[in-house]
Amino acid sequence: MLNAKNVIIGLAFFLLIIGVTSLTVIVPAATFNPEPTPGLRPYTQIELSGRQIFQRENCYVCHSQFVRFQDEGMGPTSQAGDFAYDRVNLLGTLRNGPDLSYEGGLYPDEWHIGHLKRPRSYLPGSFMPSYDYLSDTDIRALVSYVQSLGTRNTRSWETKDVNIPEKYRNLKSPLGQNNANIGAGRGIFNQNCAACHGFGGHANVPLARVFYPKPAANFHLPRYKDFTDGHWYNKTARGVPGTRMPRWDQTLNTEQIWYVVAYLKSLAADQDLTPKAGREQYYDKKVLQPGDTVRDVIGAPKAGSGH
Amino acid sequence: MREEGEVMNAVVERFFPDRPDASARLWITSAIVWGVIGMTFGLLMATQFVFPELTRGVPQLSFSRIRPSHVNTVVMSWVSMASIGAMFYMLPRLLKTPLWSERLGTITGWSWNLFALFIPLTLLNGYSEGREWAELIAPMDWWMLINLALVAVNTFATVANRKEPQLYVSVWYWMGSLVGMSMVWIVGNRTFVPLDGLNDAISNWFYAHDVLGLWITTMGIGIIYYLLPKLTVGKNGEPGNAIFSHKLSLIGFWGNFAFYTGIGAHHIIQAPVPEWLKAFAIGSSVLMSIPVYSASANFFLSSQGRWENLSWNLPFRFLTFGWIMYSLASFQGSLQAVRSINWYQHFTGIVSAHAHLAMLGGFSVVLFAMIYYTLPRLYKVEWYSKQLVVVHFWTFTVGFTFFFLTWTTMGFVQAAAWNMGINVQQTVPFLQPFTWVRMMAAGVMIFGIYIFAYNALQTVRSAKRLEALTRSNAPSLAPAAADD
Repeated sequence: MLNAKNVIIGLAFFLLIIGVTSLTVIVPAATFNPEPTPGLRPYTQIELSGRQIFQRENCYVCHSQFVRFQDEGMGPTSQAGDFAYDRVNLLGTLRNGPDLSYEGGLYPDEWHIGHLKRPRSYLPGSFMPSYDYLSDTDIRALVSYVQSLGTRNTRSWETKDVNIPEKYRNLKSPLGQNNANIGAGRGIFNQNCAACHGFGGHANVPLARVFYPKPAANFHLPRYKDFTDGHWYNKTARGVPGTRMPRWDQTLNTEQIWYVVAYLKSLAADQDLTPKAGREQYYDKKVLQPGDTVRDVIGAPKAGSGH
Repeated sequence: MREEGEVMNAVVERFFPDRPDASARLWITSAIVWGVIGMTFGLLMATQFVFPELTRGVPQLSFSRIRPSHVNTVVMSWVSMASIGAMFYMLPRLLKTPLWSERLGTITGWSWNLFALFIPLTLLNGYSEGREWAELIAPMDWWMLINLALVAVNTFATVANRKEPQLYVSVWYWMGSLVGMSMVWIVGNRTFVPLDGLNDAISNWFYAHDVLGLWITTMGIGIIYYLLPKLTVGKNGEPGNAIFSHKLSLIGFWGNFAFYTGIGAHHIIQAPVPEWLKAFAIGSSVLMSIPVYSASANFFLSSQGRWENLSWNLPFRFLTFGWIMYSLASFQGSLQAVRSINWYQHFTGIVSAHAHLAMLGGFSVVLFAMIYYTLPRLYKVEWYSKQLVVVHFWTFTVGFTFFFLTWTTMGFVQAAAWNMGINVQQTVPFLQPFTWVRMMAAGVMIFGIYIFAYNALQTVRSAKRLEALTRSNAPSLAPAAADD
């Protein structure tokens, strides 16, 4: 049975599959070691334990964690260095839910905690499971992790002009930012926009609750400070595809849109006014040092403790 | 003392028998149980898309914990156990040699069953590594490796002891699969090869795709090559067709192992991994057309002249449906790996539907055919009900067709919406009508599976009753079960 021909065939087979495997797994591991993206920091202790919850609950089956060049409005395309501190990859291959690469800072912590417990109270029509069985500690860790995503290596990606047509991109408002213009804008806003966005941009009207996708609810978040004139004009004039937000350039004239923009620009606050009760309690700033393992910092994973 | 020894012997004889075909019986009947469990997980998930609050408050039944249990149970328990069972049945007949050790086969079978039980036990209770497809924790990785090694020992020892010098192509495929799977398991799991960051993603997707490529596909093709000559036997006993071309089957063998091994990175074409790796993966994926089309052509031409068997030979009907779905899935897979198409459809439901086309429409159906063929020969009885086999066929195929097409349409809706600039959250409400259809189609399909399992259970029970009768010296009622 063990004649020369069989031995040669067997050896050829071994060499074939081991060769291809080495080429596609071992060679990259040896040669591909991207430097961390400038500004990227390691996860803190609480973020790491949140990451373990994320793995334990297998959140990656519906939420991917890399942005492709064609993904409009999701943030800058992911770079190799963005993943330098990830021990287990969580790239994902299916987007039943949104990509989480730049989720950090988009919503307040309280929104995340509530949404994890009762997703459909926050996003009607969502098919995410309710994670109200997670303990408060677990949820806090998970939210800390989600809030760390993207904020580690980028700021204000939403103001990047990827999504804005050329002709709107560098627009500057012809109006001054003074009380007269803001007041004129408030009038137009109250007549046209408040039905969905609420008076003062506070979402204090029924349609703000029942429409899905939800209208932009809180124009007072500090991140709106980063919107350029062109960005505001584009969103107002062209509307938002897939939502009830119409193309206002078909109803309002250019001058009226600029008044509204002046009003909206006046709303954004200097700092986040959402309450952050207890936030400092669970934000632990201990940073993982190179060479530490996950276990060194937070101990063994608490598998099975989610109930 | 003597009594204890007798009890011990009885237990050993009951659970680890040394009779011919004892291992094949154990592996195949266990696989049916795990198939039912794994596919029920799938139905539960399809239902959770429609009623997200269905299992609220039960962490073990949360969608995100069932999903890995579903994948791992179906792959490692249902398909793997059924394939190995088929191999243990077919090897002795192809090599004209008894299995090297039936007792080792049954011991491995129970060990694998226990392993299969621990898959949902660990994953549902939150013991997950958090790598897609490779979620099992380190002790499970080791356990699986031992199981694989025991199966490999049995297989290779049987081949070494064989009386038939000529190795049929199926045996080539199975030996290659065992070597390939052991390598994939070692390289792809963090337990053995821990890598960080994107390199972990590369090895993760190497694992995820090569479990299909170097294990399920190759085991399944070996089974198809064994079954085709048997199932093309004519209605009046005319001899079955031989394999159309052994050269084509060898092209398929070498092509499969050469090109399938390196295609994992086509799952992360738009992620920032090295460009040469993506190019290699895409090239390999397209080149997979060679082994796939040579195998498909071979299956097609081997069935020539016996197509009328589709009308009366139900295993042949399942087998043909299965390999056609496999060919379609592979055709789709090669296309999806191309950058311009991947650009559009990655991250959508099209990918998941494609995975089901290969695993469920393809190899699961091949394994149904295998079970419909082997179970009566293992237990020396006829099937409990032929009508139920027909019911299984039609519920399964009709359910599957709707299931697959609905999921693919969902994927196209997602892709089109995203390319319009509509974000993922806002796309979700568009999908809801489809989740209803998908749930109902899955329900019809799983109903067929339950019918199948019930039919198999009744068949085995009637065989057991018959064996009890023959043992008590009653006149032999056993029909002269066909053949080999």
